[in-house]
Amino acid sequence: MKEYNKMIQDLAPKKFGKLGQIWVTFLVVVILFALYAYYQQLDKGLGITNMRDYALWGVYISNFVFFVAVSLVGSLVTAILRLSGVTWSTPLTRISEVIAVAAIVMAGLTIIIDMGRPERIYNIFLHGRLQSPIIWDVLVITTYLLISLLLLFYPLLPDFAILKKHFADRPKLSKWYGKLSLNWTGSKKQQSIYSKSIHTLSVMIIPVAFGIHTVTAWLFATTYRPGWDSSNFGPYFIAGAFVAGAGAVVVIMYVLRKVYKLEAYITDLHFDKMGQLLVLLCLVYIYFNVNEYLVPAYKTTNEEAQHLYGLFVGDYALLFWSVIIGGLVVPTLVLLFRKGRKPLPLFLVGILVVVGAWWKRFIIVTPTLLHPFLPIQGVPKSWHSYFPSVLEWTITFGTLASALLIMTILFRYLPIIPIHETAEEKGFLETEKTETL
Amino acid sequence: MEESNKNSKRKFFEIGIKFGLLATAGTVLASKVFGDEKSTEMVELMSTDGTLVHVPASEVKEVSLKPEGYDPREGFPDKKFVMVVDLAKCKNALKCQKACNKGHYITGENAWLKVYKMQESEKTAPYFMPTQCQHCDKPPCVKVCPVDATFKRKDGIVLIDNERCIGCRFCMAACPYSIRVFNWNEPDQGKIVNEEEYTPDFCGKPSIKGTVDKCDFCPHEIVKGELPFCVKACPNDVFAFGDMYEDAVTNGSGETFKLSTLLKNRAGHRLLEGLGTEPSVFYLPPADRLVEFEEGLENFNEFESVKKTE
Amino acid sequence: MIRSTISCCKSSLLIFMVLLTFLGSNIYGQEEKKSLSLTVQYIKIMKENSFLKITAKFKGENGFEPCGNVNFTVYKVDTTDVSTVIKIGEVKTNKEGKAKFIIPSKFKTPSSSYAVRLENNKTFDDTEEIVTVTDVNIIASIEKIDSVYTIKARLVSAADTPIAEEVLKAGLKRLFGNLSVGGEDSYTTDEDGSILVPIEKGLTGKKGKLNFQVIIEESEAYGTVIANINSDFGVPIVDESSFDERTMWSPPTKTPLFLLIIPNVILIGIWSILLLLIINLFKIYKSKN
Repeated sequence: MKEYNKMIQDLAPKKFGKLGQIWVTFLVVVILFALYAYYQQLDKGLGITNMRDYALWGVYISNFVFFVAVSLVGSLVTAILRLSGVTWSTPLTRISEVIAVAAIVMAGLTIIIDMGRPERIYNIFLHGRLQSPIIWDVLVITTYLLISLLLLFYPLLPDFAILKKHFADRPKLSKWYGKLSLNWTGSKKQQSIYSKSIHTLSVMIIPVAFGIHTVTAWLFATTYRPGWDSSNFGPYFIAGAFVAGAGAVVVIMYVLRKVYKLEAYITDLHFDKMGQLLVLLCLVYIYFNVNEYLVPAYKTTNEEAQHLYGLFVGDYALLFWSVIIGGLVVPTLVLLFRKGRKPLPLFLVGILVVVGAWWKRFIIVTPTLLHPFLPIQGVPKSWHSYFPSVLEWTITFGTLASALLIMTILFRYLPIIPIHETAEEKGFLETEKTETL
Repeated sequence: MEESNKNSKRKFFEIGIKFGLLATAGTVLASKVFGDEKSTEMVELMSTDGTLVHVPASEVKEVSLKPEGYDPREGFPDKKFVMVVDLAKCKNALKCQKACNKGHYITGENAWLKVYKMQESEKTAPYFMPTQCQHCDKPPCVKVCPVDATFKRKDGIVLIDNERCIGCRFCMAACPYSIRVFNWNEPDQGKIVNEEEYTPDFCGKPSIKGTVDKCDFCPHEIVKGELPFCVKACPNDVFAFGDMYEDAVTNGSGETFKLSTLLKNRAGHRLLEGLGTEPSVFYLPPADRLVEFEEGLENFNEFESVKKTE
Repeated sequence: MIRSTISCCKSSLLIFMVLLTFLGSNIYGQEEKKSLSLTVQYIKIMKENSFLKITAKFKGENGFEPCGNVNFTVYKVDTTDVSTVIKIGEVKTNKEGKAKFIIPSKFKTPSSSYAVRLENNKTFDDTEEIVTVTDVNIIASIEKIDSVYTIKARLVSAADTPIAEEVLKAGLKRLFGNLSVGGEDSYTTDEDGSILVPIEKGLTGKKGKLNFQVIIEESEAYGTVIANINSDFGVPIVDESSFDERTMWSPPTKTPLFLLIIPNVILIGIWSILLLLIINLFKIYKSKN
């Protein structure tokens, strides 16, 4: 009982300290700048970016792909690991669900930012064509968003009930938690509905998660362009998504552990296990990269050769090798060793992985567009290359800040570690029941 | 005294009115008698069933190809438009591009018709290749459009509805010929006189910020029985345009050729045939050239935006 | 005396100079009228009408520009006295500088001269173009000779005398021009004024209709004379477009069936389960024990 109460005390949401306030202010400032930049874009047009007729998709799209990729982590940690009977991941399920929800919401907003006429978005519903991969993307992303929200909300029900009691001294807060807990009492009937629902959601989210990233990959693979025209793209993107998502979880769990002093609940064991998971995922992703790059290199058709030349030794060489080596190879090597999976090194590796994942998507989107089938001629020199403009970067940082803000607010009001599930696992609830008897 | 004044005033008034009326009446009569012969001129015409009819001359109009119930999304019935480009004749005069730009009010860097300096390998000869929308029969751009803003018509023409386009640029990513352009900024077209409301039939009238534009095969010229701007403008008769079902294409000088014979004798081919897009533009190889390649290099500019119209 | 004369001269000189300047500025203040390039073509369509095709251009800054909305007067030149003209009508060019003036039949004579004049126009100089034509007729028909469809055409004068050694063109009317038939670009009339043009097999037309034209093109003596002959032994045009089929590039009303069925079935399946799960939340809310 004592231990149970102590756990609740540790895990209940706390107010922001100085650091939290500074952090939120910083994010809001970034977002405000981004809103100004977006207003400029709505007023003047997409010409405020550095995209032109050849580099027609730029950071907005690679950012969008990044968000979709990160959102897959919800299915990985919450669903796949849960269904496989893994228990060490339980404390991390809420973190991954929050990341997933924030990422998928921002994915939806980011794609709207890329539209030339965003006010006409209703046309997608009025005149939508099922033949278009964009429509498939809209459908799966909406479905995944709903599943992720449900998978976030369901396990919160018992936790909200606990928090209602815990915050009895703060009636307003207690009332809200009470409302959100949907009258959860832990009765047999409720438990039965609860477990069946979560089980169903966990099963459903896996194919849907595979669906969203495969369809996003098909936005590129359904075109003829060398560098995109690959039957490998679906699995390649999914493997990359798991890497990016796992890296994000590692980074955020380290930060939250420090800030909210959760060392007792997110232990070295968790880091070690996440590290092992991450290195496994990196190895799988390296395998897919080898397939994606070495096979065309063997054949060197004209167009593929141009693409690979640009990546391996040409304009994008520095970026490409930094991403591959810094974002994949180095993390893998570090994480193969136990020492590398300790919290701090793992955190640093996680940052490398996430930043590498972001730039990897840039490498996937832009270079292909700059070597089309017919030569680029008769257009200004600046159209032969692409680097985002200041306003474009501002908006992009704004979306990243928004994702972090959503996560920050959710982590502020939701218990970061699922109280009820952790208590269940530790056997506290059994003890409590015996005690009350 | 006053009364006589009044009387004389009234008389003057009466006379004035009478005179005015007479003058007006006289003018009207005169105009009827001597006036516009044009308005009363009758013309002898043969009607479709072979009888002679008299029709006021003002009623005689040029026949328009637009039938009843013309739908810009369906197009001209029973036609399939094709273009033939004779690479042996092109010397990069760029008159086609100028005419297209002018006719479609194109501004900025966005010419829809580009003339490429092509050379497949160092071992093969260079040549100039005018490229506009290929109006593919299996258009990859139409396949991917999420909102049905770009569409393929029955007569083969692929058009864009700039009022529906959401500016996602997926069609531009899908097109292997890179012929689509995007209005990144507010198009600086000046004042375009638009007598009718917007129709996808006339791309560029007006261009809309945040949407895609491209060559439209000039349905607005076809409806008048005229050839597209590029075909008319080329001084070397590089382009020929026509209806594939009629098996005939006509060049800018008015010469009409049998399409099947032309393609067979001159070994016509299409661009990127292996991709399976089934383009409607046929290219005749640059064999037995009319003009030396080097002559066209004067006009060639790799980085300058296309020659703008005034 | 002399002084007054001088002062008189001075003032008159002054007045004269003022007047000159005023008048001069008046003359030079008026814009110089531009010169117009006018072409007139006489075209006769057999069994229909004859008309004058007028094209007016002027040399602008960027090359030739059309003279739109300009009024021209058409006169018939008297056959006996060249200086006498009778006004037979007026015509206005459209914005492309083109106009078509249909010659009323009462003014037609075996040999006619027409003058098209631009008079009293503010922007352009007075211009005149005269076209003189002799009236001829092309009598054309299609017959089957040796099981080959052949166009028979005969060129005769207004008095029905045959005209030999004249070049005629025989073409199949296509959308933007005429396709030469019979294998030759042109045919010369024999001493009977006739030509024979064999029609090759396989020509296509809407519902099999083929519209042939036998033409004297821009002849010095006769202008342009066009005889239309219609037939319907052509190969009917079959529309081969995929417009009505369900394809990957069709509008949403013609989505391929597998795309219409399978994704929707999957989505409905998933969303029904999600709906049930949301209902479950309500169930949890409702149950208290």
